[in-house]
Amino acid sequence: MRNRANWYKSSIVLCVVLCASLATIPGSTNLSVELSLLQLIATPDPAILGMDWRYVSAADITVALKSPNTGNVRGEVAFQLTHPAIPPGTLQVDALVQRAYLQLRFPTFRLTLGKTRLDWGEGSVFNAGNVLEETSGGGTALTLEGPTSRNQWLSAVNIPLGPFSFLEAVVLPPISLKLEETSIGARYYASLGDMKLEIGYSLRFELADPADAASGRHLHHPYINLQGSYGLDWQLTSSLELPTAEATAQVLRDSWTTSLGLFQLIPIGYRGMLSLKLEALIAPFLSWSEQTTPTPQYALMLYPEISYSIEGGPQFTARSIISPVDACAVLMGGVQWNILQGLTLQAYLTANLGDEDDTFASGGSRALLFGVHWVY
Amino acid sequence: MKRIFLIIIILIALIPFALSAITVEEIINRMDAAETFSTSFSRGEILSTDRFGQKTSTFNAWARGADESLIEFTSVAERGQKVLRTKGEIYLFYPDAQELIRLQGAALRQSLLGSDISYEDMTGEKNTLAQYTATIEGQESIGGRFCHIITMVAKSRTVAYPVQKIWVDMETFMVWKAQYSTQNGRLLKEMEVLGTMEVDGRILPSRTAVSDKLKKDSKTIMVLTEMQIDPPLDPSIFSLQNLTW
Repeated sequence: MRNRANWYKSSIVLCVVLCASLATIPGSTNLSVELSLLQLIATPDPAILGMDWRYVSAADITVALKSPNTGNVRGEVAFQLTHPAIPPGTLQVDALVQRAYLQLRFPTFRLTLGKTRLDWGEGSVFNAGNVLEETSGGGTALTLEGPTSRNQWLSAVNIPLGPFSFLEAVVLPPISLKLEETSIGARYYASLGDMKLEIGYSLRFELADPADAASGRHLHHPYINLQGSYGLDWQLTSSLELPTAEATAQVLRDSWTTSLGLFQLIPIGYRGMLSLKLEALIAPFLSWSEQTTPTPQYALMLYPEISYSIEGGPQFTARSIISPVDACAVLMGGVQWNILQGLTLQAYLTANLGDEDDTFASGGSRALLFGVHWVY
Repeated sequence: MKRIFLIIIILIALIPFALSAITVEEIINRMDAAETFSTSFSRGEILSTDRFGQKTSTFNAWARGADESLIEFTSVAERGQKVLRTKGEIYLFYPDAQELIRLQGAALRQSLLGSDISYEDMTGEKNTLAQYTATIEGQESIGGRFCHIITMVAKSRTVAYPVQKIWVDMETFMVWKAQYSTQNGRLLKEMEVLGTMEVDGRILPSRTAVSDKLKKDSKTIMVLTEMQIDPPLDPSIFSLQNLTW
């Protein structure tokens, strides 16, 4: 109860701060508001004791202040409020400031400072080239927007080498404030004939055991990504994860991960478009048989997605993350429709298929979500 | 003397015929030339109407020659989204996700912001004779302007519309009206110029209506509020650096 009171107090303080800042915004600043209102009805989840059927009215509010699109300095500050907060009753500044960055353009390079996102590699769920953050994609909740990577505090320099090629280097400051826990990275992006080539590397600090602050270590992450189109669009990314000390041949072998994506659009009639996507994450030296360990790591994960859209009409989507080794999956099916200016209606169902000890246990709750997303 | 006088009269009488004996290839080339500038900048809006109401998107567009163009959307819901067209490929940039997407092949046929205009329509390369075989069907007056009626049939399946029927102004070579059909003659879209403007001595469409004939109550109107021809443009505008800026 007290937490909820704190949340409301914090929200009121935020609103006052926002109102005060908005009142002083020059007319040239671009202000936009994104409002997502979702109703969720979920079946009981055995993993949560005493939890019966649930009904949640969720809200996600983002207020973004963008600088005008002129000159050689640009920036944006975006605040995000989520209800109900996680954990309930809290309001965390880092989650509240969704984006806060500044970009400076000089004649031969560009600087980005603040909290934003760098889009490295390829792949909406499985991206072996996303070496700047810890993501597996396997445990990602599926929504109509699909999974996205997080914004991070960073400093980056981007040096153009030609109209369609550049070098980019980034420094990610440590959360612990200890200099030795800083992460760094760089990538080269270029056209290679009809293909896109991306080669990158990061030296990232991470905790081997998230519960143990002393388990931190740096890991080398080299990767290569190719993307092209021969009849259908394809992309291939391969990466390694090597500790800075005691990197044995087996560690090298086990860390080898490849993500593969295939994409095709097929016109159906004149107004319809069928979109087919398949992504796979392959770590060939991990387990190809079902494990009983608490956090098993399997050699293969799949992400199929099929979507049918009618020009100016609704878009129907079905997608799934499948773990073929232990034969389980998380499924999502839904529809969304950009029916009015800036407003999208959406409704979808999610469910898990699998045994209790599988990656996606079927005991997990099934949920129906419906609502609206509005940008103005 | 009589004979010479007769020959002169005949020659004078033939001048209009000689002047009007323009080939369909010349018409198409002059039409492409009228739509192509060494550089251009335009500002405008896309008004899409369907049975639920109207959506308005505003944009700025830069172009160089026939192959390079950049469109930046400025309306709130799409602000900062950009489309860069180069020869054979399109790059999209979504600023909120800092996401750069490269499109090829069938992806170019996707609708632009749910309107009746596709990426291909918006940024099409202008070498019509390389893609279509054209024949003159006749002449007709559209809005008081005399036009050639030309039917164009696609040479390959890589173009958006297998058959196009266009009404080209005899004087300015601007297209006043176009009908886009399937191979078997089913009408898909119709384009009509509702208003024009004069820029540097050239007559250009300022208000164009595109209606999807397969959708009820559907219409898209593209309005150009500003147009500059041959402004000095930095070549780096058509680069990934500028797209992601």
